[in-house]
Amino acid sequence: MAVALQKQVSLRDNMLANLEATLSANVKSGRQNTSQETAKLVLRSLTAIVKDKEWKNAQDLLRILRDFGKRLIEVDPTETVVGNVVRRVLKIVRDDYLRVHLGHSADQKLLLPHAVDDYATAYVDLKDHVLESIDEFEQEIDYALDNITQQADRLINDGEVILTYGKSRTVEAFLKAAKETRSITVVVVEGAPKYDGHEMARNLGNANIATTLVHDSAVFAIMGRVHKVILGTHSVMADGGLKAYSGAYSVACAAKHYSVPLLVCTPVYKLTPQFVTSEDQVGFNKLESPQEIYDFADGDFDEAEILNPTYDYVPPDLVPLFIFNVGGNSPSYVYRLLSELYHPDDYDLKGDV
Amino acid sequence: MAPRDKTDIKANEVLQAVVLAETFSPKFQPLTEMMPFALLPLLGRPLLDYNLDLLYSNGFQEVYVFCHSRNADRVKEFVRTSKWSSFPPTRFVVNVISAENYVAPGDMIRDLDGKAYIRENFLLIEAGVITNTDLRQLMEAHKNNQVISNDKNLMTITVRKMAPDHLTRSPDEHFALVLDPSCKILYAHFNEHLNKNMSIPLKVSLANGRVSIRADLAQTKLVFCSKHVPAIFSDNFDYQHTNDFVKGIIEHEDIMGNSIYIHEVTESYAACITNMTLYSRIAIDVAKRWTYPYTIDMYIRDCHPQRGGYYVSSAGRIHPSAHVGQFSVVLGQVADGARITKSFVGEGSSVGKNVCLDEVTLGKNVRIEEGCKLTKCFVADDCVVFKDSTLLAGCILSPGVKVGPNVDLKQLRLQSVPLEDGLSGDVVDGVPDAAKFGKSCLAFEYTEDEDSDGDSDESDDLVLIEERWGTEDGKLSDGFCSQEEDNDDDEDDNDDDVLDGGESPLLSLDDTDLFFKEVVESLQRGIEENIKPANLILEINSSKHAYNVTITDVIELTTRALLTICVGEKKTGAQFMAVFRKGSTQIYGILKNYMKKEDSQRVCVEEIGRFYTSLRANCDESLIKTIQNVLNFLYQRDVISEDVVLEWFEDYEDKETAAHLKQFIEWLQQDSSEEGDTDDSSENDDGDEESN
Repeated sequence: MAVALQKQVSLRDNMLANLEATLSANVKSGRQNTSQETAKLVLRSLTAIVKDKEWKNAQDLLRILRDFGKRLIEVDPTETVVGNVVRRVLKIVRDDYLRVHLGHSADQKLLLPHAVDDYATAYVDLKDHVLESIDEFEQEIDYALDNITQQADRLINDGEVILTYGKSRTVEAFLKAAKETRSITVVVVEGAPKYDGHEMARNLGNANIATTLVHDSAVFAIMGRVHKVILGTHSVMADGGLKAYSGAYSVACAAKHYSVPLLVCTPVYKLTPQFVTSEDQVGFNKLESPQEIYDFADGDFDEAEILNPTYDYVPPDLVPLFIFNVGGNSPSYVYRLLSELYHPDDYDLKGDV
Repeated sequence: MAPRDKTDIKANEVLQAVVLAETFSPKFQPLTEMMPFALLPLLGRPLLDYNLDLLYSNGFQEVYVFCHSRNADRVKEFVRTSKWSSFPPTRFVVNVISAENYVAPGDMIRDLDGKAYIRENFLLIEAGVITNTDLRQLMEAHKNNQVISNDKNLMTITVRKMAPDHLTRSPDEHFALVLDPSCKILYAHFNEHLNKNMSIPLKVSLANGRVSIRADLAQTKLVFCSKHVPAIFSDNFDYQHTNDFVKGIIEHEDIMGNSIYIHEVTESYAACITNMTLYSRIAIDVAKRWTYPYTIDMYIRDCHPQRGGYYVSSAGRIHPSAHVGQFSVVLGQVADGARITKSFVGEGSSVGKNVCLDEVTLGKNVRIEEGCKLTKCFVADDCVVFKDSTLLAGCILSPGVKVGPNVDLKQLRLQSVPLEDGLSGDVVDGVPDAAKFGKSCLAFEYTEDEDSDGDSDESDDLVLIEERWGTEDGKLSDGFCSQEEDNDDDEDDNDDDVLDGGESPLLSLDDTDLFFKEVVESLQRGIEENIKPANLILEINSSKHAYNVTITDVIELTTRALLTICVGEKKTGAQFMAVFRKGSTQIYGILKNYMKKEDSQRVCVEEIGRFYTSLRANCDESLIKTIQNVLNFLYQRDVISEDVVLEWFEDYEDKETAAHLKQFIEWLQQDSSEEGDTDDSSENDDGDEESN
């Protein structure tokens, strides 16, 4: 038994080490995965754990997954998607356990979070149920983009001028979908210091969308002529605020000033149960190399600190509407979605089970 | 592991890297006595870990770590217990290779050739390299260069553009390149020492059309090599370093057709720790996040940047009244009233009340008691500094040292065990010097073998400190910047001298020229490293035979070389004297050796006169004034006799320079008249005068 347990632990460690290294290597070599790729990468290894590891009952499985998830999150605490996927899988295990446990007739009891206690009973068919649900979740991730873009023609009117900031795959697809049925003009803000707005503008221009590229400082000036602002985001916080690439806050403020409606396109796996208490909170922001804003070769001004934060926090009162793959929602509704997607016990993965 | 890069799989190419995990330099002593250089922690993380992380993240699969046998066990143990050994062999393997006979990087590469591990292009990296550059991109550039050069490209050297006064530039490295438009190196100038002159062979500029001369580049010690490189090292057993290799290949480019390219890194950080100055600089750069993502919070997971620009881990405790400045890292405890700037406080260390730390690195479990003041120091694990002590300007405390209370230390290197060979006088019986290091001390001064003679301690230390930590005003030596005009002048002078003074018709100009250059180099090194004059004389004599130079020329050129060294580095008289004083042992020893007869003394004095005449045109007065000091020095030490000086002075034509000598000459004349004409040898000189 002891040997078996040890083997199991070392297997998991090995796997974790691999995934951990992949994730951190991606961060380090600058190969920024899209959030969808990250989500699928994590989901694949969680599936492998459910499939290959020896576990007796749901409690066992939950513990293994939690442990695994906890270590994974530590690799890069700012990547909220990793934690979100782990939480979703935990929720799936819990739900499926309940479903099996109560028989298929007791769906309404699922709503009560403490309907069952310890997840300790062993069921033979639990594994299949869990794998099936994970499969569904994977499909949800795959089709998230399609589900969002389908809402484009409902939300965008003919002849509108739309402003977007930097590059977001979701927004790009959304605008391209809108262009199919509507004639639109897009203003792209370049997004210093990464300037990924340049690529966005190029892509949109190639798709025959009338595109204007402006620099970040012109946001306020140009906002007066804009009908809608559409942003992508890195994650959606529990209060409905955004953790978006830096620069988004000033765009949102300008939109608020001119009363321009702002839409945020995002799949629900970017929804995280974390709150923001301050912007230098651990795991919220990432400070990257100052190289992007000041050339190292020019010599360092010794006493000055050069900051290059990656993210901005946009408070919920600046965000009128989210376009999720599950439909449009206002920030005040996010808490409800959260409780549907994740189990309250899993909000904090760092705590003990 | 999911294959991420399909092209790699298709080509079935394994990325190989070689880590040279030793510094063959005494600059980190006595730290490297106690621990392998590769495991020296930079902000709490061993250097080798930075390397392996870099290589892993860039998709390298096979890593060969070369280290000396005495360090092999610890390096192997480190690799074995780290996560770098936990990957499947197809993904990442670290092999530690060691031998006892490594005395230079060249030996390691020759060993690499013997072992035949290398199949393709590989990366050669020194353990001190800290970079966040994309190595795959560099590898591509290297392969691209091979295509351009028809597979004749042996090496692509990675360089980072840095302003000449950049703080992250090694103060003792002078590096310049002559490049053709495709970034092929035509001529390379590496100089570890302080000679800032660079002479470019004429054929380089004539044969190659447009060339660019770059002095704004710094070496990163990241070198991409073709698979032939180890074999070439084996063929040329005198190549000690890649620099030798580069020079050798370029010199023989006509014959062998091989070439070397550079690749300039522009978007990322790259630097190499080669001395303590750079060590503390690079630590600050890492804390400033230039090396992102290889920053502290990526290694020590619970250590996060705070408002105010410093880092604290969850175990770190900072008293609310303590002041922690930008770019500091606190993993230990800081008591009230302490002021910390640009420093690292390691795990389990405690900083007492009202302590001041500035650019200090504290290892694990260090205790700094209240009232201490430390500036630019390295304090290794488990040290204790008892209260009210002051450690200034470049103290290095190796593990376990205890000093204080109430001592003032400056520029000292201390270790906790006595020196084995007992060379230094004060540590014969293994009892710590309580008077010097405080009554509760456990500390022995570390001294290198050569300078145990203790002749010119003061200036020696100064140079050491400057090499290790930069000059005292916090500025590093300025590389090529601001010296350039100066250098040009000097070179012109030298050329003039050679032309004017090419007296012996038998000699070709080249030979004297080469001889002179060689002498300058030996002397420079001699003064730098405080080599015994006898050894230098040996070197000069062997050069003499090699270039077939007459003894008169030897005296002339040696004198000129000595003065050139003193002048060439600095511009003002004060600095001239500093160098002169430092090298006085060598200068005295060498000149004394050659000046046994009066006619040779005459040659020497005349040369001094000529030198100053040529110098006068383009330097300030304070420098010309030093002629008096030089002559006085030689007179006082009986290298030259007063008659020689006096006679020479009568014939000396350069009146302006002579004006500076007036005082000295008058004093000499007085002296000699008092003594009476006891010295008859003056007659002999008259004849020799004509011959010159």
